[in-house]
Amino acid sequence: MLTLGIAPVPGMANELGFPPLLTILLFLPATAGLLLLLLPSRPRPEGGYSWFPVKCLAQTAALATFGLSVYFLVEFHLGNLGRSSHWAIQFPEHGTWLPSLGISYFLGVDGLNVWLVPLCTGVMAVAIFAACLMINRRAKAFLALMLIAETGMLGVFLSWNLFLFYVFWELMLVPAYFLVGVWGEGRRIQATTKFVIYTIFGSFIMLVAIFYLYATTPGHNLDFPALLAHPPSTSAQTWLFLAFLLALGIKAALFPFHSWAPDTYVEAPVPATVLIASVMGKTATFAIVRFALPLFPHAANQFSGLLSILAILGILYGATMALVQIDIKRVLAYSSISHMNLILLGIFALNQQGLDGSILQMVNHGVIMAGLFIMVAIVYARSGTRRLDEMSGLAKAFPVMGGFLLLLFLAAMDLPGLGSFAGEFTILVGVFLSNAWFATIAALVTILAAWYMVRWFQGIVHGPVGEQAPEPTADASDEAWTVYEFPVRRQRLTKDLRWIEMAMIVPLAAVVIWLGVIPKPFTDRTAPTVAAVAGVLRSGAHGSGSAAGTVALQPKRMKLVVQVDNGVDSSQPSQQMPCIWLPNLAKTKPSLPGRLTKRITTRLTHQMTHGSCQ
Amino acid sequence: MSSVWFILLLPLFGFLVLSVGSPLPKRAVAVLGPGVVGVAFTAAIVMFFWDYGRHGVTRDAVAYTWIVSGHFVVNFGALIDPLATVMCLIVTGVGFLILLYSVGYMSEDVDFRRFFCYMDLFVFAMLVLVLSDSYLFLLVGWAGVGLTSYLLIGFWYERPAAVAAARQALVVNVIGDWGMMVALFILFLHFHTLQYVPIFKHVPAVLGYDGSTVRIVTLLLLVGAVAKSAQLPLHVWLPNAMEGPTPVSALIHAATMVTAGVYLIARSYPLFHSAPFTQSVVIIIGTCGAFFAATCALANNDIKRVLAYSTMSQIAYMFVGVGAASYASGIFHLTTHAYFKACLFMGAGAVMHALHDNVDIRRMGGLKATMPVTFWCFLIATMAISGVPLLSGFFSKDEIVGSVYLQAQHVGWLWIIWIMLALTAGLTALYMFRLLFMVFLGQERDPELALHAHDPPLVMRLPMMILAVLAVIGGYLAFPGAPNWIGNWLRHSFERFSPVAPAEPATQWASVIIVILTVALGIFAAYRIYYQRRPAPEQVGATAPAIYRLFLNRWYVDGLYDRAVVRPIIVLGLFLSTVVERFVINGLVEGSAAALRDSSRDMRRVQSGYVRNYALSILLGAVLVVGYYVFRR
Repeated sequence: MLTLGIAPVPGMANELGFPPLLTILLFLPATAGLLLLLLPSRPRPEGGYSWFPVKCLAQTAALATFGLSVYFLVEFHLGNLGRSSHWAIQFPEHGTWLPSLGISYFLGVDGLNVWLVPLCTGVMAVAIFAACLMINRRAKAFLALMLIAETGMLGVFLSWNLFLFYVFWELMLVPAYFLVGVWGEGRRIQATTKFVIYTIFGSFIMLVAIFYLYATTPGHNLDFPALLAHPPSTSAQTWLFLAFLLALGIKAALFPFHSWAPDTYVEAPVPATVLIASVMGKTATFAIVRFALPLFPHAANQFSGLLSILAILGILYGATMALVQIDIKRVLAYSSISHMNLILLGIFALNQQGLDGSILQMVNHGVIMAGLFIMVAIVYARSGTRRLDEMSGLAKAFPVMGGFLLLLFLAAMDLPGLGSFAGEFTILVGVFLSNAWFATIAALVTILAAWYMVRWFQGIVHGPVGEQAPEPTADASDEAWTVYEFPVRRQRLTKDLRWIEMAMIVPLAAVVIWLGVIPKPFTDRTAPTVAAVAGVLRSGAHGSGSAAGTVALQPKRMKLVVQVDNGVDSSQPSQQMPCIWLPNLAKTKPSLPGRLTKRITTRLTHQMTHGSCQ
Repeated sequence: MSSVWFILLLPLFGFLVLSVGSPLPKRAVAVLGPGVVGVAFTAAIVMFFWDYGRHGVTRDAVAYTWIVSGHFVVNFGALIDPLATVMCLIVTGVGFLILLYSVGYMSEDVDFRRFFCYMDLFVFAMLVLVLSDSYLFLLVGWAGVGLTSYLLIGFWYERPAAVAAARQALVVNVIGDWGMMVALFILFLHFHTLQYVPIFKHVPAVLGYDGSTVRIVTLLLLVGAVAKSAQLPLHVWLPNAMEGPTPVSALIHAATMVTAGVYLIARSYPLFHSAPFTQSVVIIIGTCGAFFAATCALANNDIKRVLAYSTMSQIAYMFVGVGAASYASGIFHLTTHAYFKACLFMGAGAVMHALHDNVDIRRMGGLKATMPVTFWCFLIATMAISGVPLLSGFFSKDEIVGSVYLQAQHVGWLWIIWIMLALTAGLTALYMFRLLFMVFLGQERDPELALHAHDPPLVMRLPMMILAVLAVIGGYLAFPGAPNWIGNWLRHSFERFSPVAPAEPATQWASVIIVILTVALGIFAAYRIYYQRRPAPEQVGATAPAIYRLFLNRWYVDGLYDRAVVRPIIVLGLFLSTVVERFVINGLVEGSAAALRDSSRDMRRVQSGYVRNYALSILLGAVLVVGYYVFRR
């Protein structure tokens, strides 16, 4: 039983620092989005509007946000892996917001979000670029909503106060609703309604849990360090954990709560699909690691088996579904669900490798899915169809496009040597250490993934060079539509990948290759924090769930340190990893083939000695 | 040490330049593509002769740390020992010759650059596979060669057959990757590392001898080896892989990639050595595969597929060699096989070139007159693969069969294995000489087709001739009775971690003589049937129609897999998407939404607005609450 004191954080009040870079990072996109709305829309003499200034401003804001987020990546102080694990909150910005309610404004960076913030800003920069290219109808509103959603997602990644987290969690939903509902395809209304109702249903249950925590925590303090120091009782943890997991699991498309995802991904316009599939899904998996696991370690250990089984079902289910889809966007939607469940499986392994791999895979998945969904639009602009059975042999006319498609297809099937393999393998190592059967069965998905992705890839670019789909019949004079939009087209592109299209894909491809060749810089940054999370979870496994944590402020580095001390040196291979399968192997009981051989030989000798069969 | 990175990075450099260099002229591609591999080969020779390989020293060079996650630490490094050096020399040497040959073979192709781009990538991936010092990067190379194999089988992607074959090869190979991955997890769990040396050092201490863990690990590694090397039961992709260009078949699907399974077992020998159960499985899979493939080759009429089945059969021999703990002989057969099989495929490619890409041997014949160089090379390679004495295949194959013969004297059931291997040696001679006689000798069956038949240009002829020479002299590395050079040298690899150093068996003369007799019988039968009588293959089949159909349809395995595995998964997917997703998963959500809607409709009726109704409900509620407290005691 560990004792722990919380820690009043000395000198934390109203410490925003100057300049408050995280705050600037957080509100830069939304401010730009609101500014956009003030810009006048200039009608063109020939009809339609000129969106050029709007698009320039949006793109500048997105790139500036990305640049600023890279600053935190560069300045991030690598934790020392040596003796004890530090949960260090770097660049903290703390201010009172609603002091009467104990709600504070608390931002900070640690190993969990240090990569996810640049993922969010980077992918959003690409998505906004894609939006500039692909959306001409009411582009101003579209871009403004994208930027507001970016602030919402950044807020989720950066918040260290549970209530603040919830505010941003709801904030990001509103723009997504309109992005799908207004600019989406045929069944957009059904899709977006399902998406929003589903998400809100979960969020409200999570809100109840947050209220409970607020009511029970001494001092009504919803700051993360305070909550960590006062874990709820084990029985309360169960319900709180389930409430959180329902909300976060829905958003992360955990099986069987995934059914909003394929419809939303397919009906949304491509930039919004990138936003929802690549980044918004990660907010949920991230929040599980940030809040649900360390705050309720006992319940997390209690439910990890059940949740892992759901995740495995989701992995295989999504892959099998992807195998039979005809729409190339829908194949990707199910593949995304399958991969998200793999990330969840890694999280539920509750150990260092599983969590490290999951965070790595979140970034990989975000990058790869962004690339793939943008490729769908690029392919569609040339083929004029999204149906696998209507296109064939596009590689002949568009070899460069085929090359990029090949790279992304390989990344999506987790080819060793590319980024997603590093993530997947680390996840599965972690899962194997906690339960060998889970990893063995989940690894089967590599076979299905290769199968459905190769079917997808070959269906698009290989096969006989077929007849082109018929020319579009839609109103060709409507300037508002671009060639990328579905289902109405103005014309079809006949040239290979343009430079402007490459500008979207090349950075994503570079990240995929980099993370495959050398993922060490990545895990170097995540590992110290993950070790702290894993330490809290381990202590939750045997104790009553009270984790140890001391919080201290390091004024020189402007760093807040939560010291997790559970008596286990996390840098050493742990002997306490729960392991269900392999201890049996090590015992003297013979394995199945051995038993079979023995049974057969005994029977044979019996027959030989007794001379007859019964 | 630097020469290793030089060898490794050269093909990668070639790949990178070729993949972005679309404006490169054809001549530059023709120089760069094979050139980088040729330089890598030179560097490999330097590494071998001047650096360390010569003395059988083992060195481990770490380039960088790949990942650190808790105690999961993986380095990227190279392990250089005699085994790696042999593989490296084969991959770069034979690879260079085949790439040279491709310059002629692919000269008419519009995608000339893409071809060499993929081929260089293949050589790079294969070098990663053989040089890596850890299982993780073995797996990276393993998947990399699988990928390039996929790309090159489907090189002519406009042909539906090539696309389907490529897809099949990829998926079957990934099944093997799955087995490897799970094996790696178990190894990591027990050894806390994936580097070879620390694992091999502690195998007996950690896993014990013949324990169930080591059995499972080796069986899972075997899944990978079987898938990659196209052995039973995951062999179906290899014959179909012949849809790719012929140099690809020569390099990837004969000389190098498909032998990676043998390399894997030889490399992991401390594990296999501790798992006699798995070794027996390897021997049985190998023997059955050798026989099975030989029977399929006997009935097939496609020149490349006959060679594909013979590849499968020969790799099965190598499996038996490494399974029988005679690792050096398995690697020796791998080496000689690389020479003569690459030579055979080059010959087949030359024939196809001359006959407008026709592959049906029923339309060939009498090409000896028009293509003498090809004929002689093909003849030498055929004799080598059949095991005609004093050619390379004879020595290497007899070493494997002999080692089984030696062990059979202690283990009874190995006699069956030995008999089947000897029988298959005869069958090998029969189907190979059948191929030779039908293609090159006798009368032309289709004179129109062979009108312009001619020997290939020098750039294709030269590699073929070099390989034919190697097919003759390659066997003298281990001449019976003389010092066994290759065996003694490889021994440095194979006795480092082994509890008992596997002794190089003395030549088993009784076994050798019996094998020579069956081979002679096979050649004689081929001569009588296919040279003297020259019937159509169907006529031969008519003498035993049931067996002929069985062999012709490849024992019906392909169809079985299609019905038993592929279609059920597709049907399951369709069932899930049309029924489960729509009615169960969505039904749950929409059902609960509908239930909410219905209940709210009922609830609306309650909120009627009449005060008396509300009063009644308040009264009811009060009664319930009071009643609850009253009756609770």
